[in-house]
Amino acid sequence: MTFFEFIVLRHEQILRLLVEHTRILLFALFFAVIIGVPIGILVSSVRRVSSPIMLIINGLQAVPSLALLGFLIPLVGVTEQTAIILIVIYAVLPIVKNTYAGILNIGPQYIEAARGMGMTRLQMLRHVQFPLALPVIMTGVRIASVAGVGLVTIAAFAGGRGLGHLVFSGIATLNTNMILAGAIPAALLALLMDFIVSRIEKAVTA
Amino acid sequence: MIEFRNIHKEFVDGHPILKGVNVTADSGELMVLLGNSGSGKTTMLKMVNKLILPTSGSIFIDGQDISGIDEITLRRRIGYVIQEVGLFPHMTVKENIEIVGKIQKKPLDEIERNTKKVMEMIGLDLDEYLYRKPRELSGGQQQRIGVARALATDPDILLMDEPFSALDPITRVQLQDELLKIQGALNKTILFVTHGIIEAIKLADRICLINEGNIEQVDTPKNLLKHPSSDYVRSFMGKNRLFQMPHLLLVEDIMSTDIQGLSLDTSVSVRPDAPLVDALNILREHDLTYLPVLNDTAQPIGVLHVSDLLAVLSGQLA
Ligand SMILES: Nc1ncnc2c1ncn2[C@@H]1O[C@H](COP(=O)(O)OP(=O)(O)OP(=O)(O)O)[C@@H](O)[C@H]1O
Ligand SMILES: [Mg+2]
Repeated sequence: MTFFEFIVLRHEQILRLLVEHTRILLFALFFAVIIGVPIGILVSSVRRVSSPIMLIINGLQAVPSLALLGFLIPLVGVTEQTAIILIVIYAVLPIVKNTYAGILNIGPQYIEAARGMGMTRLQMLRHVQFPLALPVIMTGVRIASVAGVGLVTIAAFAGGRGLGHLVFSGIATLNTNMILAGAIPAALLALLMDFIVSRIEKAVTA
Repeated sequence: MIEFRNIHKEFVDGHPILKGVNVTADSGELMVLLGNSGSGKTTMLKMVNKLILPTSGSIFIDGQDISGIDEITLRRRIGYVIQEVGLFPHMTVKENIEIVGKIQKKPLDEIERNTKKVMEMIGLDLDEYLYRKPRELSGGQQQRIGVARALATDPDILLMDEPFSALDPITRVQLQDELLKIQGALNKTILFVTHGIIEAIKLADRICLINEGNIEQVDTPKNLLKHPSSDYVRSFMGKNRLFQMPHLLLVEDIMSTDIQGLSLDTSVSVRPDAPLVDALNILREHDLTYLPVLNDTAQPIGVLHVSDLLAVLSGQLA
């Protein structure tokens, strides 16, 4: 059977898994953003916590994802939640880092103007720091979403039902077509995410 | 009125930056803080809106010690213009001006009315500029908006830290002229930092000359030039500079008051507070060698000789 024949034969399953894959990814990204951005803001505005938190973040990022999965499965079990937690943990890292860097690198003249006109810290965050850091934050989201596509694949080990299912079944049964039927749509999805988020990035750049 | 009372400042390293500064800028006065780089001008200025706190001493605004005023409340009463302008790049001109009123929760119609008013004041067309982003403006236009933003909520006090120093000379002169015009209409209390002597002389009601954290002299530009209180002031202001700026000199500065026994033809005359340049034009126009100087009650109080005038204008009298 050729690869093309395989795709035609399994197109319904592939499509379903792609949708699942995307759903898990978006779900995890959503959590990563609502967790990562506030942490990034906190880290950038409270100097005392910035080095310990950044240390933890960099440390976490150095842990191989399969190893982390090994820790998570006994704790949470082989469920979709495990997959999502894994992806969120990794996706949070670039978002926190970029939020932190984005806010720290805002031109000092904007901060001085904002303080000088009498903005409170919250107003400054809302009207100046957040919007000016947004392009850099979106870069973090883009990095997270591209890496996230790969992570959803790996997370198929832990109960996620994405395209990783095809990849791992393919490996187990030595079926190259099946591996490719998982890997190629995943790669395309990564490219698509990269494209979409970079568009958003451009749109929010002042 | 802004009063610095015995202000000392040391930053963390313990090196004194301001060493007991005492000066008062009166209401409606444009006071220039003048001094070399590192003399402490910016440090002084930023103490007024509490961006920097003094190590000791107090600042009073209209008699009230600002240490007892919440910094947010204080800053909202004071317009602040900096050299780097600091317009927010993600906002339009309109949003940049109106954010000042918005953070103070002013009513929207009042905010919009003020935007129109300040845009008119700085001489930028509403339709053309209101919806532009800062990067679509020239440096001079950006700083005009910077001034407009500082005026947006009509504060009594303006703090300006080298606002025109980054502009090209022609634009700088235009913005100086506009500032003088605005000040003529609004009579704000303005502290204006510069290290440009010419700018200081042009703009200041009074100049506060600072030297390494000490105030050398506080006086009108003319008195600083004519009666420097120390060698430092004299050399800082530069010899003969007064006579390099004839527009600063008035008829009364060089007229001869020795008019006893002169019979003057007063059909053509000049006032003592007229600029020399005007007197020169009158002399030329009527082809005279001297001009009688008449006071408010049309009494002759002096005479201006064309020879003195020409000597001054060519810089020889200094
Ligand atoms: N945050 C700070 N920490 C330590 N030293 C400082 C700080 N801010 C200013 N200084 C020092 O205080 C002195 C006066 O600085 P200030 O900015 O008031 O000078 P200035 O008169 O405005 O000079 P310029 O014309 O260059 O702007 C300088 O020697 C400067 O290095
Ligand atoms: Mg300065």
